[in-house]
Amino acid sequence: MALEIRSATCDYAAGSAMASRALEAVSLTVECGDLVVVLGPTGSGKTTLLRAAAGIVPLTSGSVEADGAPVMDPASARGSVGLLFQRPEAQFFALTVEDDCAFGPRNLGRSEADARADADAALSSVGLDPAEFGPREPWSLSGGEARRVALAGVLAMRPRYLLLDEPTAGLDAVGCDAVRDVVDAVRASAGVLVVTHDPERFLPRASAVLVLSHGAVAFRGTVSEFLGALPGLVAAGLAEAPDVPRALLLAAAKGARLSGELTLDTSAAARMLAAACSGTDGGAR
Amino acid sequence: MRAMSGIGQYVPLDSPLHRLDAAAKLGITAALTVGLFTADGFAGLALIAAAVVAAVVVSRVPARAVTRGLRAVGLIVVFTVLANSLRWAPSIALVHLGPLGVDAAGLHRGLFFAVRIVVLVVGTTLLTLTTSPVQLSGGLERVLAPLKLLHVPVGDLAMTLSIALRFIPTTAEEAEGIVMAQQARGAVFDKGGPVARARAYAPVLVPLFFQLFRRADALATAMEARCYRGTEGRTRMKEDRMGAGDWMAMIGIGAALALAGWFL
Amino acid sequence: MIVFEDVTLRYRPDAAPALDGVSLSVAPGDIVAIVGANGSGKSTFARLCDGLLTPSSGRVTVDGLDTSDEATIWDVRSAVGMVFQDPDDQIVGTVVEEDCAFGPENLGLPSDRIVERVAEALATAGLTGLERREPHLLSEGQKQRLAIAGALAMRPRYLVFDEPTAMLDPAGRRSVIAAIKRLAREEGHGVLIVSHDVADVAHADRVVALAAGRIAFDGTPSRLFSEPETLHSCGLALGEAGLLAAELRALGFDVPADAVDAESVVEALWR
Repeated sequence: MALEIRSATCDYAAGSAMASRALEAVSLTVECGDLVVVLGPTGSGKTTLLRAAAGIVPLTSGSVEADGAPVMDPASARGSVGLLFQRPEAQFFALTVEDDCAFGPRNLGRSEADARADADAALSSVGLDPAEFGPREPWSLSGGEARRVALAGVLAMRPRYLLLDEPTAGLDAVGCDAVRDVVDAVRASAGVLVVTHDPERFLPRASAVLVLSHGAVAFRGTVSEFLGALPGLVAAGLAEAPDVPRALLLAAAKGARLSGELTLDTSAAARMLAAACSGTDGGAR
Repeated sequence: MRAMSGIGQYVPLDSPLHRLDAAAKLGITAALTVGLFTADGFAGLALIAAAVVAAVVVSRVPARAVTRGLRAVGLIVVFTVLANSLRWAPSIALVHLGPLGVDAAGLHRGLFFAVRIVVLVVGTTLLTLTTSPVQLSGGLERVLAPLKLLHVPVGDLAMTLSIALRFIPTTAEEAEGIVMAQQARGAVFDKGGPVARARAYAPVLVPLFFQLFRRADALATAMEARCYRGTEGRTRMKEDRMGAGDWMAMIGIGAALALAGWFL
Repeated sequence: MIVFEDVTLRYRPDAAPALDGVSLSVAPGDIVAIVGANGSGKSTFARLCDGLLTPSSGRVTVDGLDTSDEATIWDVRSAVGMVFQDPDDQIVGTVVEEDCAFGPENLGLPSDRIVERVAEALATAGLTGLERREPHLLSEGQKQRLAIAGALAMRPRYLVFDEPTAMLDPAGRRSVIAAIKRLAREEGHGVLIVSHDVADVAHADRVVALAAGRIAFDGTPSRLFSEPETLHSCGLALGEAGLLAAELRALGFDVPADAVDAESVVEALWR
């Protein structure tokens, strides 16, 4: 039982003069309970990977299967993969929040009562009371609320795999934390693949990290393997270091001798920096 | 959507055709149109077509960008040929296809119209391919300047046109994004009768219009913040004034095209 | 100076004020940050600076010119450059240099001076060499810097940024913040930046937090960052580098409270 992406290759405008390779032989497995974080600069193919994994852009070669069913086949895999687009609140169309959230379940052929029940359950799961928010107009919501409603619209289909494209972009701190909490809760019943420029929020709880560069896999491994490979990835311009390891790398570049591996943990990093700083003349104690 | 967004979109290159003044290009395109519609025979068409092909070569615009415009009118061209050449149960025909026959004179006429459409489309596409919307609107404003005497807001119309052209790619991307997002939520766009299909697009059109209005509002604010107050008193970075070369190109090429149509 | 004198703004006469009795000033060379949660009135604030909105009561003046005065509004707008959140909402031209020229063209400048200003503005924004590029082929960071160049080409004395980094990746964000800092420190522009990103705020000389249209905090970034409750009520969070700095302070190191990115934390340790 997994979302299996096998050597997915994807070309835009295939066969024309403007053809360009967006994804090059990317393989990845996401199981229930996983949180896979996808990193890479703008234009590295992250969004294409999610769209291909959801079966809405065709692959040039390779395959994507959700629990053994090809995602491109609407009959077998519909609704098993949910995809939240960037800035999803721009896509509201219904007059009420509940109606917008029920769109997915209705498209899957569920009865009106079931669709509403799914919508309400999804709203509760993102921390919004369906009785209060259900009847409201989607355009009247604050930024954080709107993002969570959009997330509920995807969760209402009860996907077994949830794909998130920049789910925290443009939100304030409170909104970002709310999205992170929803992701934590969803992992109990689904596998999650998240593309983000906000790695600090998701890396500490991730089960795997994928770094894309020009559409190809530049790194794939666990979080600790990622931290081990980080100096090389940063030096090659393939990845942005998250804040805490970034500070450690900057210190090392200034000649600090760090006792230990790169870490995401602020306390451990503070102790490493403190020890290194006390050991040199540059200490600012 | 992606295919639509590329048609006739400005290809920034540096060729003599790109450097030619937009007003001159508009004049030549007008002459081309007149020439095409006054030409009575294939000789005239061939001469104009040769001029257009030469212009394509000079512009260095990739051939694909030119032919993309043709694909959109392909159906019209085919229909023109068929409608003119096919006859129901004719007595004389070049070829018989069951009860239908291909009429020689009709085929001649159909092909003539078809070539005319193709040359016209290539010629006008070439105008937008080699002229940026800002230059085009500037050129249009100068060509239509006499209408200002009749209190037609020529400047504002030209600015509106140029912004509309600028937002075609953005809007196409937005529409594509919304279609995909609704597909990801299980929406199906290509099943059922015309009514079902039209209904399926409501969840796309509502957010698309909403976005367009929001964007229009934001853009108006941004333009006002950058001191846009209509085209009165506005200057241009590229002081587009018809140089001697532009005049010669326009009069020379324009007259040749029009005469070609007239006499051939 | 941009001066707000007891400014109140209601969008409708019967509605609660979006901005309620706010007084503030921004001088050339200053960076002033306006922070606040969604709906706190901070975007309203930005639009008041160049008369896109005018106060219901009170007065906004730019170098002595009242923004409510129709006769001088265009002088005000050429003195105050605006940069909004989404670059796609403000780019008018179809190639970079045409867009950059839009403001000076509206000011009715002769073409040789427009060419000069466009070259200068694009150089300041780090876009030299991309003059003929189409905006939709630029990276998001480049697009936002084009929006900045478009404002700069009018040679404004003040620049107002409304959430300028919200749509950018970390590299784009850093390039835009660096450009903003340079504009205030080297070119002497007065900068007003509306944001909820601590990295945008940290370099300000002064931070003003708005809550329900009123000023809830007014002070230095260091003071704001050392008041966790105020920070939280403004919808701001320190981020990992800020937390790392706090841990180091707890261990007895002298890391300033406004060190909220990795660079400044390490800089503070190895001075």
